[in-house]
Amino acid sequence: MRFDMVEEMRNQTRKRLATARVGIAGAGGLGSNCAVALARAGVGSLVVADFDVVQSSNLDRQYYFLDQVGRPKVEALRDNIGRIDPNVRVEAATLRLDADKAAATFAGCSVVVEAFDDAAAKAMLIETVLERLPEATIVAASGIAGWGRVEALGVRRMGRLILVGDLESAVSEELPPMAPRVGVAACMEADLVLELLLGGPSPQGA
Amino acid sequence: MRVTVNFEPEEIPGDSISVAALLKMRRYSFPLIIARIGGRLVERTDYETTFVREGDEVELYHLVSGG
Repeated sequence: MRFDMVEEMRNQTRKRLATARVGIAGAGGLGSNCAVALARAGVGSLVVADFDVVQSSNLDRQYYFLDQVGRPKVEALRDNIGRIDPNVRVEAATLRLDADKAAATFAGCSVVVEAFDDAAAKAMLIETVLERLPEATIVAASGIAGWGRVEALGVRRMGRLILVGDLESAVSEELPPMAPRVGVAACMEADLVLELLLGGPSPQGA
Repeated sequence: MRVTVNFEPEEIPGDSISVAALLKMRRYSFPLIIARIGGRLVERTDYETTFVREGDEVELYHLVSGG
């Protein structure tokens, strides 16, 4: 490909990402890592909602630091992203999302990332986006506990709902969430967001 | 009747079964499921009144905790 064409493609990609607005529901293991990946990739605007504060037990897998313990997660995440790229706009919403609040918070987002811990909350958000945000696609995760067998993590594409995970490994005492697998799932979600924002995957072998 | 559930062929007695009955048969925990028939999402409130018939392609995905 000629240099000016490559340059043009890069500019288009950059512009599309810079003008995108992506919602992230939950700022724990999935949400914090996904948000950072999207910010580094150049997504211009992130709407992140979570009600919780950073706890020392979160530091084994979530994108926070020891000196942020006790702070609202969304504010700590906004600071961390600001240190990576101050041009990324982070709308930090400290609230517990229900269907009404989710529909209001993520209005205008072309993609919403489901990054909750609790399965019932995941179901609530998926239904809310599918029913009440007809312009948005939801990228959700199910089954990301434990470690190993990474090839079992798959992607199920169902129109405006895309699911990542193995769909069976629930978090429990024996099966804790661990940084590598949670990070893989978070970045799978982020990669799917890029694919949606850029209208498809990057050309193979390019 | 023959249907496919999550891309596996399955023989189910009778000529139709409600989504709710199918979930019960497969022991899926009720509120945390994504169900699709022929690519179309079935809303949770319609599980009792939506029926799977011969040849349908059914997808049932479990939402499990973790994040």
